[in-house]
Amino acid sequence: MEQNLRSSMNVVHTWAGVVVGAVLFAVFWMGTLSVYDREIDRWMAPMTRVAMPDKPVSFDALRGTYDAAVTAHAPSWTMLQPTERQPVVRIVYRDGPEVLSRYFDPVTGAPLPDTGTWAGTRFFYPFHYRLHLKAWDIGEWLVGIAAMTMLLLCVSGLVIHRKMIAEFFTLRTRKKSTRMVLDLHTVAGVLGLPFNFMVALSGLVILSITFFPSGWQSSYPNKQSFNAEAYSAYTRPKANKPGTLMSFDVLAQKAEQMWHGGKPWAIVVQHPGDAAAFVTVYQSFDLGIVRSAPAIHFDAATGAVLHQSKEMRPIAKAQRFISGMHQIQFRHWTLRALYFALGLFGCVLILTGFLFWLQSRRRNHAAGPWSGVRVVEAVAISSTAGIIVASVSFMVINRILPLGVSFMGIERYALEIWVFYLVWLATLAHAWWRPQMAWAGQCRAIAVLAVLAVVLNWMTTGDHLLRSLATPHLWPVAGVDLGLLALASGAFGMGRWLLRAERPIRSRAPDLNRVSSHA
Amino acid sequence: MRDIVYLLAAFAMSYLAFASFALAQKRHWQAATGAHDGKLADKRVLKIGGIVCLAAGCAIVLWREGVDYGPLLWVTQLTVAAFGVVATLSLRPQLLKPFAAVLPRADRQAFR
Repeated sequence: MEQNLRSSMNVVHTWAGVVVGAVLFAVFWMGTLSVYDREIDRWMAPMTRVAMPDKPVSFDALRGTYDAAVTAHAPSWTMLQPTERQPVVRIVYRDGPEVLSRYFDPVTGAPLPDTGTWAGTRFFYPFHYRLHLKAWDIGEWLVGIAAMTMLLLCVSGLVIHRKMIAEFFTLRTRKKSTRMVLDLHTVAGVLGLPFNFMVALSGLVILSITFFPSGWQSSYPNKQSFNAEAYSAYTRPKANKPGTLMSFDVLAQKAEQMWHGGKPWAIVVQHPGDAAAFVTVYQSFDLGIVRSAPAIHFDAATGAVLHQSKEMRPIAKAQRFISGMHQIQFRHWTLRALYFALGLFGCVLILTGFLFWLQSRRRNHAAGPWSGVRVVEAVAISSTAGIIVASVSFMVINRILPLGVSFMGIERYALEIWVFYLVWLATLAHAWWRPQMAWAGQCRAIAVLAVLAVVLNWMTTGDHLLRSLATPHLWPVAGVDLGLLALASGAFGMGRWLLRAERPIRSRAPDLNRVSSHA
Repeated sequence: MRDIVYLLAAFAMSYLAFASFALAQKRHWQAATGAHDGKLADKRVLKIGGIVCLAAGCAIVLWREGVDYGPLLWVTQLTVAAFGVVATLSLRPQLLKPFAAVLPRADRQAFR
């Protein structure tokens, strides 16, 4: 009975991993980068590398952008005050189909040049939970399936592990490579289990409204009433008549008094320019794990308080606690570093899972009538090493393209994204045509590109590592540079090891190119 | 600065806890001490000491960070500490020799 369960779980673990591993790695890698998304933003948008001001600019100083939002008939207008991780003022509103995100000097309120990049918060972070596939929420569903599979892999991995206690600390680096890869996979899986399980489950909880709409649809007539009761949210319809707006600073002061000194951080205006427009003043989201901030809603014309957020319902609070634990928006540098390290361990877990599958099956599959091993190998290489090559290329091209450049009508930020996807596609082609060299070759490419990114950052901004380390407000830039150098060194070492480890295995296995062409 | 010291202390406690659990296994004890004969450490002392270290690390983190961040910080640093012990045993097991030297020896061969 026990043997049957173990063998069934083995099959489930193997094939679920092989089928979903590529998406899982993309989600883990992008999630790991997203832990430092705002630091990556500062690296990729040098105009935002400013010091945190003692006294930031007033909310009213940027009233001009609100008027622009009214002219553009934007459904909302948002102003975010500087924070420790993003020390610039940020204005966001929609102009037609395009979401405009503009940065302003935190002291003078002067507009900063267009960043021309989606960088960490707008490219890496949405890739993590949506793969940038918005139509019919396909991306979120794919990520949800991957998260469910991760839970299944965690449980099935525990069942099939025969000597969990005896081999809890075992990593045999001096044994043959297959043994070492399996040990690394096991250690990363067992020790990383609490984190991997937590992020997969909390990721599902965050997107639960997408996955289980019947949960709220069965009890509420619409999403507004659900949000109002569960999260103490507020909204009202447009009046479709022109309206006025009173001073943002007056409203912010009023909110501060009502919170007994709690500092306003963001202002959101719904229905800009309309008679039914209302202003919401928020405190910062980074004050605790629970992903929620006190909010007060004012009438835009009179300043009358329309609604003050109350304590959330227990289930909603639990959901926001779990999502806060996953989204790590709170101010805690140690936890941020630990999440980053554990995210990387998750990437190692998936990579070694692929490697073990390939090393243990390559010979049998290649000798048999199947060509699947070659497909899995190409997908595995491009979805692990390839996505890292593409991510670093995204950062390299960011430092090469001049600001404001466009090509055939494609704007700068879109050119960067094109480079990401084209490089990723090229790594797949490389893995398909040269499987015997692709692992090591792409590791070397990561190493070269990561060093190039650091050098280009120095050449284009003057912020070399010594300078950024010596200047406190450039520490995030230094952190990204150091991360890139660590990546380069890790990838270089990994490339050398893979070349050595793969050589004896491949010498025993028939040539995949030749075999698959006959299959 | 003081927070960093306390966090490092909590991490050191977690590392020592996992090192104790690892040295309770014959294979890791021999790798750390380099001795394949002679008396081994008292397994019970290692296990109880490991649990005490884990509890001490948890107490430090909860005391400094509260019940909000504390449990999350403890669980995540625990995993990193365990990885640290695995890396030590795999790459430089002799680094644990000074720790093994201060441990009380078993009266008889306790490992099976």
